[in-house]
Amino acid sequence: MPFLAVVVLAAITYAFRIAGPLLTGRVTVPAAAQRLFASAAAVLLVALAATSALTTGHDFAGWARPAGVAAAGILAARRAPFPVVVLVAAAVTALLRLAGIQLSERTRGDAAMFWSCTVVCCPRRFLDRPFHARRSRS
Amino acid sequence: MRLQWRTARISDRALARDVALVCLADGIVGVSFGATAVAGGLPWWLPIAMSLLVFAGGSQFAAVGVILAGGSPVAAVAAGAVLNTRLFPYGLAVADVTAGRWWTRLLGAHVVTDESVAFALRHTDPARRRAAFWTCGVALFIAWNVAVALGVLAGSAMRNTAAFGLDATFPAVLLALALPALADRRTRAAALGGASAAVALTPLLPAGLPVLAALGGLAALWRPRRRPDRASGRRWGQRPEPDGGRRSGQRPAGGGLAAGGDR
Repeated sequence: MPFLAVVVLAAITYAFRIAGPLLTGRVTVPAAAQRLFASAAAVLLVALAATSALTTGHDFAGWARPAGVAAAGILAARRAPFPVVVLVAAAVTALLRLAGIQLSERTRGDAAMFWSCTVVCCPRRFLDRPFHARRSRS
Repeated sequence: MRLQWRTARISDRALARDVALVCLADGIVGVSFGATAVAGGLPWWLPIAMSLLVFAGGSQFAAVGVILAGGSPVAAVAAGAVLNTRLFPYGLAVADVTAGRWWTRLLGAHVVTDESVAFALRHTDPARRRAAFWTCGVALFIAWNVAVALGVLAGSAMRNTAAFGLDATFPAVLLALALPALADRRTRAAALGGASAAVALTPLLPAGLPVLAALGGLAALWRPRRRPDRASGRRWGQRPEPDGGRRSGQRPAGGGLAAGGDR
């Protein structure tokens, strides 16, 4: 990905951001258009999630990754906090691969150490309540 | 007077605590972004430059995801841009907060995110709105960029990122971002149709295109629903959904995506 692509994406993003403050009072976004934006974003996100979970290049990616993503998806649907969703995706995938045979002994040891530390150090209250519930308290 | 001063202090502390929690959550996502991008073979400066200049997590993940799958830069930019269209209504919603001098407007626009807008919309008092927006926006900008840089360091230090399952964090983040919008039945149908089409087309089309082709599912599903509306005068969208109200409760105005993770 060339630097130019980053700059173009940044410019487009900034244009969307600055347009609101510049046009305020002069324009309102119709509800239908807002719904379309939201739906388009959701369609794109799900399609990207599905293809990047299931495929590498033009081929099937193997079962470990889709399984980790599915576990994370179930947690997200049950409104688990975001960091937990991310960590579970990686942990389930890593554990399934750990159970597999492709990895060298040394890498396996590193990964096992990393994940056991993460589980032990993970603040207990992260797992208790969804993020949104805590935020709305004030 | 004194009581007022105390309540202001307490709510300042509450704001700082809430902002810190959001920064922590997004920091974890940022670390995984930086690590995965570098582990996928991108140069170290790319995720860092992207985080500084684009500063929108969902579209950063999307663009890098397309690139890592072998897609063209044009497809990556298109995917990222579509995700960021929601920043336009966000900007309208918080226009009063950044108003003032021209440079606060320019700077403020750059820290318009799901989270900073959600924080601003929690308050009605202009001063509190401004404090919430700027605190969250600036803290998040710093936290996100530091986290991505740490992720880049971690990603280049790891010998075998597959063992850590980092490649699964990309699709998991994207899915978690999309979930709140999927409470709507029509969006869910469009998303499932589009995703199936994208996966089916992946072996056939050049990388990056299947994902954009998924947007076609949106158009196909949108039209047939409109006609019965006008004919019978009934609106399909008004059917009560058991899940809809519960999920939309915490969202910023008009936003389809979750507040709480997308940077």
